[in-house]
Amino acid sequence: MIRAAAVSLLCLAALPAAGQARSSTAGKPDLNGIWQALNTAAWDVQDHSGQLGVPPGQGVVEGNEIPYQPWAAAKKRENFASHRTADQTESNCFMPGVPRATYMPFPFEIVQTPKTVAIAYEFAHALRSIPMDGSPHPDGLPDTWMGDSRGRWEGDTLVVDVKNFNDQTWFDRAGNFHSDALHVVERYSLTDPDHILYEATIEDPKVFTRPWKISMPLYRRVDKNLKLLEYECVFYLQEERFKNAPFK
Amino acid sequence: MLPSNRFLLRMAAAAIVTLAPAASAWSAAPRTPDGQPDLQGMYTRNGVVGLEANAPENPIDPSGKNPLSVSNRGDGLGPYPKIFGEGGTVLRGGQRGQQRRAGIVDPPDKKLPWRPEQDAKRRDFLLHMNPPADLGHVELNARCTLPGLFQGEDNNNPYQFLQRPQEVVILYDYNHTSRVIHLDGRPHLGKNIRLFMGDSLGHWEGDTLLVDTTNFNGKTAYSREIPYLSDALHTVERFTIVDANTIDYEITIEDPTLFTKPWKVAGYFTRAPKDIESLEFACAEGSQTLVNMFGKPPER
Amino acid sequence: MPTKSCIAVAVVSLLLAATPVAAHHAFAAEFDVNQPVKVKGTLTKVEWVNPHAWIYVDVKGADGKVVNWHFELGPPNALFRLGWKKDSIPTGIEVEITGYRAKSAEAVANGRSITLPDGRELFSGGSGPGSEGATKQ
Repeated sequence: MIRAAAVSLLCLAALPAAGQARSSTAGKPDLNGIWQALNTAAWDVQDHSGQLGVPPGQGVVEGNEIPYQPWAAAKKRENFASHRTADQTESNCFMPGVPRATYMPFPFEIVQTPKTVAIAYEFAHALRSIPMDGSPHPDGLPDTWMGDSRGRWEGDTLVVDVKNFNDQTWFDRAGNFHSDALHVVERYSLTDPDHILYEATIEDPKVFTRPWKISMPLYRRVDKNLKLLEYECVFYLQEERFKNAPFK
Repeated sequence: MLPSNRFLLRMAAAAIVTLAPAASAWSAAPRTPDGQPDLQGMYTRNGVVGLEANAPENPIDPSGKNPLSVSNRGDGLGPYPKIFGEGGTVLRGGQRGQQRRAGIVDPPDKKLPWRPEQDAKRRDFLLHMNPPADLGHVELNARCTLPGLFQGEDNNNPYQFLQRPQEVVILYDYNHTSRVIHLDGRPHLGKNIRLFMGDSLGHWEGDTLLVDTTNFNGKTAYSREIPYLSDALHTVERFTIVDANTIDYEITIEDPTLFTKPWKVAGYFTRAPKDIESLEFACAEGSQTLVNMFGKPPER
Repeated sequence: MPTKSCIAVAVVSLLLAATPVAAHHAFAAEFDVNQPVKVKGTLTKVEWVNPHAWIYVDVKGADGKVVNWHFELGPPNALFRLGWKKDSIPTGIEVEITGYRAKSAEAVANGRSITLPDGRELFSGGSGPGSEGATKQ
């Protein structure tokens, strides 16, 4: 389809003022790089013993208790029993949501610029773009798997406020879940150049009786020339599930 | 009787190639703190469309014969209410209608240098794509895979360019794809690691970012008529800032399994309006494509 | 004081729409052109999700049985950028929908056009929904 010729204005933007000082991290701690959690929260965020296919772990939940409302505690038990099919991340490779994406057993990369912090996760190539410009969560967004994130610095801590989730993700394979009212506040604090203390406060008035909190160290991946690769399990699952297609 | 779309396209494409100069860099582009020309921001992509001469008709989009053809709708969105394709009017803001190169620019006659046996093979492959004979004949882009190269015109999905001292990172709205282009002089990955997006290494030559990409996995398409590129694919891309709102783009596509020599496609990125942000596009999570085609797979 | 210089340029706007990227779809292979669908029913649910919005419609068949049809729409991000919001579409409204049935599924189709009883199009063009409701003029 060809549009008619038209006259348009080609406007060159102004040149920037000379002498504007900018630093690549604007004086903030440098979170750039590839990081990974080294715990078993992806299987179960609470204390758990080992079993076949599940490594044992000391939990990441402060107080080790998740304050479910009574109906939700029963739902969690149901989820646990049916997790092989009911966990959308485990069974379909769908995006894990926040904070689960942080502690999946895969690396992720933080790309930190003054205006935007991006986090790219190797698992299912999940991705978050975090505006740092003080803008509010937009009104009326479609529900999302990874939430809408808004970031700011509180001193030397990167604080990320996340809402606008759907209710499709779990916190782990053990069936810990939330509703679309989920609100997460993450805190990333560099404790030394190669370690981040990661904390996430979880609030969901439809499911829990009060907010609760997880925390864990994140370890910088210092391997030479490391890059995020691809774990495209949606594709792998398709190859498996549809290998005898068509079915009719 | 109106000339056919294809005729008009050829005329316009020829006009564009002769009218527009090659990219000349904007040497006054602002710099990042480490001295790279600064191309950060939100952009829409234009014109990177590999429409070849004497292309076979593609069965997925037999325009004109199929009411579901996306080509029958100006918004490119296929069989949905038109408004779903109009996001592009917001994304493009005032940046439409630039006099720039677009589409296949080498060879000038747009006849791609297929190896004859590979051209025959892909034409036959296309004939088995609708209905798809099996999973292997399903259009790759319909499977919510990572897209590989920039393909076709996309009215709905902008790109965010970010820069760090040792990397340029492009975040695609489409299928939440991200591409890290390493500027630190590292070597390419070993040959046994294959990726949908390949392994991109870049360096600045003046105000042009040159990106060399290898390690593709042979599971990406290039267009509706080129349903796959091979794992021998090697690309060289040139991103040149030409003014405050425009990045000129050219890609050299070299795939010795399929083609006898490299060919080139051009286009450009234009800045989106200020309030445009990246949004989540959760492709696999909402896709019913394979079930629509084949039915529900049997329980495992 | 920064200044702008504007040059008037005659351009040919070339939109090569012939190879569009509705990228994650192979419509012609998914929906059956030989099975056009036209149903009338009550909107029961709207899912404002990626990569498509879905609408669910209760349709009473000739046998009196109610079947809940699923209609697939386009990507909601496009509408969000045009000013539409997640809760814009009210449920309980009567609609007539045309589309094509999915090749393999019974009550699944694409939603090609959706009209209200008075003939207005749901999801017609323009900016975001008015205060009197989600339907567009």
